[in-house]
Amino acid sequence: MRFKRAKTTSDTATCAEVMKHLQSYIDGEMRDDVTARRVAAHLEMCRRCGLEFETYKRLKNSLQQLGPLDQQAISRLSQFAQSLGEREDGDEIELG
Amino acid sequence: MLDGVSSAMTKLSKRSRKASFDKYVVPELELLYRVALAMTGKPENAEDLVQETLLRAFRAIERFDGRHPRAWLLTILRNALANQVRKKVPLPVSDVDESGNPESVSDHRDSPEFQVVDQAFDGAVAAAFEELPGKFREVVALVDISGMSYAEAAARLGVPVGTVMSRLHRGRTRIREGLKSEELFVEGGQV
Repeated sequence: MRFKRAKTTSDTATCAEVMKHLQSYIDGEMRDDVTARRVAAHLEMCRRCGLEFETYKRLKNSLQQLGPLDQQAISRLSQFAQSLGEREDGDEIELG
Repeated sequence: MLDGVSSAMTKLSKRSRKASFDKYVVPELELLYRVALAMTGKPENAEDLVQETLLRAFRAIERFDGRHPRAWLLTILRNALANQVRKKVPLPVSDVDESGNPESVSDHRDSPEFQVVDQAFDGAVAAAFEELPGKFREVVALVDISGMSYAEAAARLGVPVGTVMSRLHRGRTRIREGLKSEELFVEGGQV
């Protein structure tokens, strides 16, 4: 299946330029405002690059939700795992 | 005599079961909790889910062939969650709401199916993040989880900004490849 390429003008970046800058664009780290605007214009026109942008943006959003792990929870789970090994048979254990 | 043999075999089986559990399951506790947290969104639910996973793994450990323990455990975790969801949330039987009108897009977004897809996505991202080699994981952790700028991350790690950018891109791309293998993405978009 062929994707329709966005028309390239001086106001819009090419697909290759967008791929080069996509991660910095998502992170708000582009220092060149003109290029950032050209990337934004291209993303509105090009379905393939737009999907790529949405994919990485969603991935970043998901990563942002990961935080440091609660070590007390890990410790409780470790104790639970230890208790399983000490039973004769895990089938007898009922979860609360 | 036979009772003695049987008792000895039971003890051997118990020791072997515990040894396998300690070898394949216990080292993955943090991964399981991280993924469970991403999939449930609530610490208390995540802890319950990991306990259920550990119990199922313990019961099945003698049948596990020792290959790909992470994949095996994550399958158990996903099945345990699916079982919990099936018990708690009745799935809708049609696309028409109680008043007879077709449901809106936003209604679908709040539906159990979408929540399950989101949970699966977040869980797969968490698992793929844990799988990253250290140098990629530390950059993704600093920029995406801790919210540092490229410059701040570079200063923290003592590397050039260009190295941060390169590792970040490669780390995210690897996570994305992990999602593809989980069949959560087709080329260019979510299934």
